[in-house]
Amino acid sequence: MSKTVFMRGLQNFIQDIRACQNKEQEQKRVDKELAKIREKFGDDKHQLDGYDRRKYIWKLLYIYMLGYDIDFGHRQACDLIPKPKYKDKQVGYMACSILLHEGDEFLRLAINGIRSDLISRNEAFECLALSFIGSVGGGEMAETLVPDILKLLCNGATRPLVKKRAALCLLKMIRKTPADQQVVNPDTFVPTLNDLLEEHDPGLLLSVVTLLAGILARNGPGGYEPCQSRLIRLLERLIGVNTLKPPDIGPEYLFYGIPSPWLQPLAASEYLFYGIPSPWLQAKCLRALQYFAAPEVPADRASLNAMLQVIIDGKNANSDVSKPGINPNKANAIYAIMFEAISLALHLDMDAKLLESSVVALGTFLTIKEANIKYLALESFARLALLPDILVAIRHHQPTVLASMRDPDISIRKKAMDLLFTMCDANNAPDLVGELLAYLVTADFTMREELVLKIAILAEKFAPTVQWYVDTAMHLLERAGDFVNEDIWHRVVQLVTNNESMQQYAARNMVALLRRGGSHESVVCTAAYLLGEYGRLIKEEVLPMDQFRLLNSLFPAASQNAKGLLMTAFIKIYLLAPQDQNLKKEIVSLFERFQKFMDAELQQRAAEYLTLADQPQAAVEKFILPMPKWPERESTLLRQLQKREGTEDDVSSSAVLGTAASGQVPDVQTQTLQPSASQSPPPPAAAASIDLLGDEALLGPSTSDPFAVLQSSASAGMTSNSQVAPAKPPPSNPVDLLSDLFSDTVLSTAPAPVPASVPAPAPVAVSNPFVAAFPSAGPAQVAGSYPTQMTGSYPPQMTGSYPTQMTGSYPSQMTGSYPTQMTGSYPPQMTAGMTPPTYPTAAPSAGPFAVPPPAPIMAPPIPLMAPASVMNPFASSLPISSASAPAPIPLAASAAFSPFGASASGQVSAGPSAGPTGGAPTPYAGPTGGVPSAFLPSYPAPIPAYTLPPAMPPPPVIAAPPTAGGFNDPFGDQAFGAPPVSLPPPVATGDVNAWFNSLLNKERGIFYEDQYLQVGVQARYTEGRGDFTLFLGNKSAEHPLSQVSVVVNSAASVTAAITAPVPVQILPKQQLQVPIQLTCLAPVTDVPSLHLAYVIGNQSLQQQLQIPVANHKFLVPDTTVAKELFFEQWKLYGNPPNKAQEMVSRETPLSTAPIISVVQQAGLGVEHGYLDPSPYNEAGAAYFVFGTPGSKQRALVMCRVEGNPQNMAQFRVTVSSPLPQLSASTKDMIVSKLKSISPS
Amino acid sequence: MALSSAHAIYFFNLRGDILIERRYRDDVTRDVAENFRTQILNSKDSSAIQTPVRTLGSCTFMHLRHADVYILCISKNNPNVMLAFSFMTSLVSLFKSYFGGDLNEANIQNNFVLIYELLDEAMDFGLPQITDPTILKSLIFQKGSSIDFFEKKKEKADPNATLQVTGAVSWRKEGIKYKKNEVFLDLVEQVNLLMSSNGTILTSDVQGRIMMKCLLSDMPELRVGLNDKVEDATFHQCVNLSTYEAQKVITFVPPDGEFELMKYRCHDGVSLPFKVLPVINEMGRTRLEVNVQIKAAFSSKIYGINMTILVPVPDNTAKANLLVTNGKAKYDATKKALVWKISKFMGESDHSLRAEVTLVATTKEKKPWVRPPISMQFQVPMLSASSVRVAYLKILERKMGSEYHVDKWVRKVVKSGEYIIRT
Repeated sequence: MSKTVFMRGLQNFIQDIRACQNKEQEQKRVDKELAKIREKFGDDKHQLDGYDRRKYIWKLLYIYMLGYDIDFGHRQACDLIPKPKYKDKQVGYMACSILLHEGDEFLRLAINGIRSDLISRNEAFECLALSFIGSVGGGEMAETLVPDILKLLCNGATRPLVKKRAALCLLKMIRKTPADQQVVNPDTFVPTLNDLLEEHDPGLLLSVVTLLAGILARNGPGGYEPCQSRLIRLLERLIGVNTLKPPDIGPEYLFYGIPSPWLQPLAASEYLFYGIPSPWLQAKCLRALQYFAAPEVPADRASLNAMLQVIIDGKNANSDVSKPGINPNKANAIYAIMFEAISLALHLDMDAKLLESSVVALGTFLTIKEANIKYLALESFARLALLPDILVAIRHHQPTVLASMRDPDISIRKKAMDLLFTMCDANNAPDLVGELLAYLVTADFTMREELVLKIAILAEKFAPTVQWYVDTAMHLLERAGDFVNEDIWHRVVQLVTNNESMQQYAARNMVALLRRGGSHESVVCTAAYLLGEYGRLIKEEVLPMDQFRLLNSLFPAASQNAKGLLMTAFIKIYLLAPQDQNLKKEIVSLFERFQKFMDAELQQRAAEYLTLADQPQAAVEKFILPMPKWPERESTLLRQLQKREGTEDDVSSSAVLGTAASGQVPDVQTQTLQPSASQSPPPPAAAASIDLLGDEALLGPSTSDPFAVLQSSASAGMTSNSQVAPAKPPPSNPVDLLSDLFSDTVLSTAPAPVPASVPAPAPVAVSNPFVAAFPSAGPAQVAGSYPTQMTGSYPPQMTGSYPTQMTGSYPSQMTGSYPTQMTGSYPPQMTAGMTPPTYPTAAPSAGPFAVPPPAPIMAPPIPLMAPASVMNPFASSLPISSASAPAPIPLAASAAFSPFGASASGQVSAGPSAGPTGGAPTPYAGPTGGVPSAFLPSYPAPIPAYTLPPAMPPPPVIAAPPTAGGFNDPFGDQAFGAPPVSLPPPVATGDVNAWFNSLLNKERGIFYEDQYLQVGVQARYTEGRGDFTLFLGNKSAEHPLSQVSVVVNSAASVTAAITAPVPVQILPKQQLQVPIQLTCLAPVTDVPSLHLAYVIGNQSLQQQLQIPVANHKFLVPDTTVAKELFFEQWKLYGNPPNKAQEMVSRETPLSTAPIISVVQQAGLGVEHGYLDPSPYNEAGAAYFVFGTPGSKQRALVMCRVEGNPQNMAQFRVTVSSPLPQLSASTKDMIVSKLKSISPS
Repeated sequence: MALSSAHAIYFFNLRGDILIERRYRDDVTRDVAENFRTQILNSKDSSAIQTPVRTLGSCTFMHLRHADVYILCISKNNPNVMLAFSFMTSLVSLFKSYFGGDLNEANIQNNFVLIYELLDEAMDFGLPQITDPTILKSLIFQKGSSIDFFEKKKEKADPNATLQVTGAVSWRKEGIKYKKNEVFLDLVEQVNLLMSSNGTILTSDVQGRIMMKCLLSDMPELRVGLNDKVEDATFHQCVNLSTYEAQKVITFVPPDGEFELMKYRCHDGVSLPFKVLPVINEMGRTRLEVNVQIKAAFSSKIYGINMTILVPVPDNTAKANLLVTNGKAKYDATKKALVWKISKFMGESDHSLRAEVTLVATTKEKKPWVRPPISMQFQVPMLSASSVRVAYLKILERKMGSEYHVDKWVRKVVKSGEYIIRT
């Protein structure tokens, strides 16, 4: 031991780690240490001595405890266990217990060593091994080592020191083995236990009682009954000798065959804890006794009773907690015993006197400030409260419990709440619920939901009147708001619906609540339901308009669900006063808004209600009917509470509820949903016979929106279908209230009528598929936001069935002969004359969707037509419908003749990238399901398949005809059948040379123009390169320019090249660009030329043009040329021909600014006064860059314009450069400009 | 305020203590910074600190580490992250230039007042303002405590500080005088390489910088001519971009003192200075053989210096027997690698490292060793990895003309960036 303390290396390491400033340093230090340890452990040649090995293991342990991962050294740690020295063993056990866990393979290495320690008869080793097993041992170890441990425990020679460890270790082993295996056999083990319970060592006793309690908790008392009396004896020894005086327990106690040594008190002074003998052992004993039933031996019973009485009364001077200034440790010890005693008393169901004194004791605990005690007291109270006899006694403490609801500790508040809930009954319920409601406002948020639930349950369970319940529930909704579970307001709605007397009261109350500003989600839902349903009962006092306003103010902030309910309420309110135009306007505008809402549910409601709003009379009679009574069901609140709390007191409460609720609503208990429909006010027979389809027969023609009607009735039919269809059982289980609310109101008539309409089974059968098929299309038609689904959901075969439904439903309404229409005569209906009227009527309501439905048929033409003009697809389909057969041919032909010259087989795939026709093939790919190249052959196929030549044609035909102006247009080939157009010959609209000259002085402008074509130019020059862009614009509005060609010819000094393909044709009013790149190779002496040609109609043009370039375009001005360089070069090229000079005289003088501008126009950079300080002179410089890109050359061009100080109309212009032509041309440029410039 | 980059700036030391807190808006509290400490800095997941940008709840944390200091930007809206980071980097260089040394915890603690003053100027309401040290030095005269007072005579307060900030040549003051005019130009290139285990180059590029130090009087104009090989160049604000566009000449009036003239990047024609041929064999569970050969691919007249080669080895390495033909090598447990240091590596030569590594058998089943890549650090003076050259450096002073004498110094060096060879 001592050496462990003074391990220098370990200490240094720990010091280093502690000195680390940050985690990084620590990591580094640890890595270094780990590397060192790895090196030591990895070296097999030099065995480490024991000291080093221990040291490194300690270090590893320390590192491990710092949180680093250790992945080696386990073997070395295990190796230490079998070592003979205690030091080694100690470190080995320590390391293994920390580094290894239960299932570790390395434990197997150690197990033999552990076993040999267990049987070594060396106490120290035994203790080490036992505590190691206790802390690590798993199932495998349990199997191997339990016999040895048992031996240690049973062996009389073992000292208590070892035995107590063995007992605890055994407990651990028992806990580790699976529940179905028995580690110890009660028959053999009970005698041992009994012997052990007679020991004197309190430490050992504590362990043994713990072991016993552990076994009992696991296996139950079966087989261990003999231990009970031993435990009681033990308690007697603990309590009796010290506290019980003979008068208290009677003399007989001393004679129960107790062997004399037992009478020796246990309480040697070292086991007195503040004067209490081994309090923890007492508590443990009391706990262990709770696993047994009440003792059968009367003497035991009496003794136990007496002892409990003593404990609970706390009469003993030594254990009076109420004494001021008592040491908290002592108080705790007393409480521990006391609480165990109370629970034992409860468990054994001792006489009432004992329990009453328990209540008294607990009552005093409640007043104690100590939170733990209070909590335990409340908990015990809650258990006691379940005993009806005691409940009365507990009620006395109700104020104290209520005060605990304000305790700062939330766990205490929760316990108090539970207790109050248990304590509540019909007598004190109104008070208590009132208290709880008042408390709710201040309650902690985490508690509120449960509190709300409990209030709701108590209110329901013990409601003296329904009105009281409704009041309470409304208060609850108002105050708790967000914490109100849905079930609560569902319950309110149920009760109100089922109690006619309450309905008006509830509606009135709700209005008052809304006026106070209640706006929680559940308030909104309840309000929507109550006002919608029973607003009619109060419409005299609160006008429908006001009701609507009240609800509508909540609408924007409501959730989707609540919005749905509100909309239902709105339509109902509207129907109260359909004559009120203001109300109608507001409600209808709201529904219209929501017809385009994203959520399908709300959208559908809006659409349906809108239609109903149009027919208030019919709606009131057939659709919007009062809610039927609800079937009585198990309170969902209770169900929920049970879920939350397990099985606590469910039997009693639900029984109570059952009686209470059935008393209020006696006659609805056995209703199911199905009969409720039949029980609802029977609708007139006439209405019933109209049935699903009949609805739209009535409504359809008169509304402007047939789709909406159709859809609403269809979807109503669909939902009702599930009830009508015999195959499907009626939804007998209580469905979610929310969905009930809606479907029931709307369908309240529907289920009944349908059976009535059965006389003709066939129509129903037919209508079912229809109805079933329709909804798939239905939502899409109405829903504003599903265009993609639309196109996706119409495969080619659908196109056949879709118009059938359309046409089938409409015309058939008139005649009623639905089935025949369906099978027989749809080819005629499908004629183009029939379809257009159908679609346009659908269009206004369906908005963008009216067009997508025909997409598979009609869509292909659209891209084709796009370039031509905007054309009505329907109209266009008419004239061509006769020409279905030739249709594919022009398409193929024109593709074949396309300028891209692809062969007939490949042209289509080439097409898409080509131009305006590119869009065409892809739409075809959709409906036919093939790749673009397959679309041509697939054309003939659909036609026979449909056998509807007249109906089918639109797609292929439209492909060609829209280009009626000429087939050539989309495919851009005039060779294909373009009729020659007679046009005047092109004539240039200006002087070509003038354009050329003006372009010399500017970078953009007109290059050439005639009545058909305008060619503009824009140029940019950079360092010997010119980027020249021609803009070819077709001025004609009708005729394309074709065979356009632009060819450039380079000149000797300037090369020109077209850098992008020249378009072959220019469409009317189109402008195209042709980039040309110019490269200056030498000073410009000649200019490159450009040949322009095109054909328009029967005319053509051939024009030769000069590209406007000159030397100055390639000059890069340099205003900041170094003076040294300038003058050096000036001198170097100071003689002709490098230097060019000329005198200029003007008629008018010039100031400085125009001179500078002249020089700048000539392409030179100039800064006044920089190179030539004279104010009359200007000197400028520029670089002339020329040559091919790889070998560019630069020449400095310098110029000087000297003015005559006496007469600023006379100048001398000097230009010098390394290149004579350059000097000359630049000089000429400046001179001519100086001459021509007008005075400033 | 999409432009905003920071609601608050914090400085932390490595332990996570707040050194400096500067809030620019009121909606950030100190607790938020605590979150950085608990969630990112000292997070159990050690990789948390490696993600420079992290959004926790409504806050975005952007941090940067410099020496032993974390700089943290907190933003509560959708911040411009690049802006935040470039702001933080410029803060670092700003502080460095004020402190005259490095930015570290000690320096921050010694200069609280100065730093607050600088932070006030550098950012306003979360929007970056001036971060240029030369300008700020004319506004904030206080000096960092570690600055050398003998280095420069104290400059007078510039009465026209505002004018200068808003003026045309905001980066240079009028009337600077030096006895001796000197210009230093350093072409510093960083080579980045990622090579696969079979020797193919996955990525390689050169990031070059031209650093200048100008000690010039008056208002000189400098011209630097480069050959045409430069791609992706970014310039200091003093450079006249239009002249560069037209003539490919970098023309500028330089700021006084040190600055970075330009940055560029080259992807093509990168000449890699070193070739590495690694061979690593795992011989069973407890042994590893490493053989790394390095060849210098530059002329024998120049040489690489300060080379460090890191050859990673498994975590459970016990020891390594190393043999090298040049320099020194050893196993460094904190880096989990063999560290091979060479002080001088002559051009056209090659050297190799051979190592036998002994491993300790681990007790836990582990994933096979992932073989992290070999990385290298080096410097090769007077080499250029891209083909960029400085063709000329001209200085023009209008007033003095040819009287203006300047000593020009041009150097170049290649450094390693991320030079990584997979094994």
